[in-house]
Amino acid sequence: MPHFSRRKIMIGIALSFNSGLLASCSPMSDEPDSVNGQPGNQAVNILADVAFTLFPHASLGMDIYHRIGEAILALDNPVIGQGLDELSAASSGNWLALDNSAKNAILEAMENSAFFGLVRVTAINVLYGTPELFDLVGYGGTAIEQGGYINRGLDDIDWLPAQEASL
Amino acid sequence: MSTTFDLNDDSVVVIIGSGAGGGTLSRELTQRGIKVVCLEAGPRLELGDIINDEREMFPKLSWLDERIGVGLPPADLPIWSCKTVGGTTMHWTANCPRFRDFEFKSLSTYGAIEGANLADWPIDLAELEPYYDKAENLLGVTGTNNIRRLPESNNFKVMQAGGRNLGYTDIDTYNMAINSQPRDGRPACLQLGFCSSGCAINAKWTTRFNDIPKAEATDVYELRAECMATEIVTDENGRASAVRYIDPQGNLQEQKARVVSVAANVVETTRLLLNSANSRHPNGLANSSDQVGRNYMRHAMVQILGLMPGEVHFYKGAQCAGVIRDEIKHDPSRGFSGGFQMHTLSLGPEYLVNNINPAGWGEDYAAIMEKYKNFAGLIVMGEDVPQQDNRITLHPDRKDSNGLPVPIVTYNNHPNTVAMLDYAKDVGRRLYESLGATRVFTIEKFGATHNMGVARMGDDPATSVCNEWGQTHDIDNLFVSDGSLFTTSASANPTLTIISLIMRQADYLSQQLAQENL
Repeated sequence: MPHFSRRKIMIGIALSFNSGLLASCSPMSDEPDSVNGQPGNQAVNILADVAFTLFPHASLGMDIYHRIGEAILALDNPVIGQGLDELSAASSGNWLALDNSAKNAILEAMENSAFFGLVRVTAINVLYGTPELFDLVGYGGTAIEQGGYINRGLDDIDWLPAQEASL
Repeated sequence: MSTTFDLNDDSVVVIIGSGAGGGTLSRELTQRGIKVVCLEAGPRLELGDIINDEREMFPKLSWLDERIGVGLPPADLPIWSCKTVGGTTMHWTANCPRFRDFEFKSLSTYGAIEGANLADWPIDLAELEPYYDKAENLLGVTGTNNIRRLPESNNFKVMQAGGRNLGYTDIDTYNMAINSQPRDGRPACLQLGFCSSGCAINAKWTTRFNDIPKAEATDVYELRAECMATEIVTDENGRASAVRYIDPQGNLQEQKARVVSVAANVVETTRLLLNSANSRHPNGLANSSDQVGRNYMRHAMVQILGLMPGEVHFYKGAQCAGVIRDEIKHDPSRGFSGGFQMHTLSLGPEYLVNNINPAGWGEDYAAIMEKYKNFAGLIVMGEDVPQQDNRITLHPDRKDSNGLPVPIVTYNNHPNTVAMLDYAKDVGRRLYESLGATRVFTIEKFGATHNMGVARMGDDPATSVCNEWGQTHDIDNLFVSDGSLFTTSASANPTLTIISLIMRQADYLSQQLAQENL
């Protein structure tokens, strides 16, 4: 059964406070066929859509958001089923058909729930650590293989007003 | 590395911790032929274990044993310390400012401040200067010893241009223990940008790859990694006689000692002293003053991020190589006592999304993240006044996985700190807005790895824990050898001062040993 060990949770808490990172999710396994009656792939679709509503980077495409949905399900945490039930109740059983403002309003009302927190943290963990996102936002990340940034744009800024060179 | 000492060898100095303090003392003593056993709770990493990935490195370097935070949230996790050979020198960003003279004399310079436990240090700048000189040479600090400064990054240039717009002039790429040119067996910096995750090429000075190997090259040094000290044992005369520790196999061991030095970073230093209480030392070791664990300081800190009109790519280059020093002064007309510095800082995307707004989400938030390459960043670091109730204590019942009492860290900002941060936030905002920043964000929720003041030095045993040499007032063969010694915090990153204090301590300690006084 996938679960967060105590150590992983501690690391996760530490990083979300300190360096904004979260320990990797447990490896996916035992993906449930259904969560409270929702077929697994439908639950993934809804969770992916919620993740997209939280952090919409349209040009990335939906694949990565589906990975987030799968990662959330793989946590195998009972609050996920409860949260999906709440979304279903608030959307008359058709979350995916809602418009953005309706989705935002429902999620705002759930902001303090354990479900919301789990989705948000997992979305950040998956989304903001991926090469696709790095490319989108222009983050270079590790450069050791290229010899660092010393000759790769360290000081190439060109829009600052002219300054005297510092001593 | 082949040296091993018998557990019953009571002629050794036992040093607990291998970071800036313990690593320095290890090298200093062993170079003089003094026998040392160093107990390090963490494992030994090799250079190949260090990669440019914060997510991988954080759990490899960090001290993650349970701690309880009380007060300004989160009072526990900003106490970032490391559990690895080399301690927090693996994680530090290598900024090496000296204290200013007035920062050794806060009480006489600022006068008494209500709620603050200010005191002058028992030494002043002139006393420490020869050791600062030695330390800067040892570490190869840029801007000293004719070592050229590091190159200017984009993020630095933005801070410099904004700072000049506000009239600041004392600006450069800082005094850094990062090689700008090959020196002392270490290469020049490649501007990788992951300083705080460990330097993968060893351009940054650490005790792990400098002092420890130098100590191990002698035949009087044994470093025992993954050995967690749990208690300092005292003899019938109340003097330190041994250190108990849990070895890598989980067995309790006891190493006899002639002298014990505690260099475990403030939380662990406090825990060890308090957890070693016995009938002769009922309040813990060296705690007749009731000051052990008190006056915990961690610097007044706020991060300022500007969303700039052009690209910056602030992740490129040494993270903290850039400083504005003009506000390091005592000028009460600003509405607070003490000074602050500003230095550059960059964040990766995950850090940014988690910290700009810790609960942020939605279209606007994602749009801000897509402007990542336009962010510039700096961090304000100011003097934190000591307070009696900012302190480390031990939970009365709760035990961690080693069976040790869980530390409780209590911290709240003093009004002086709040006033300083308000002033500094305004400065930071104006700095970036002067260059056309469209948004400016401030992040106050985390501190640096700067832990100071729980075993303060002073001349009076009633109000301090250690004398000017870091020797505890109560037990002559028990020394504190880390940032716990700081009487006050100054505005300076603490490592260079820790190293200098411990070099001075080593002179005294070796002299005392030679004279058979210990």
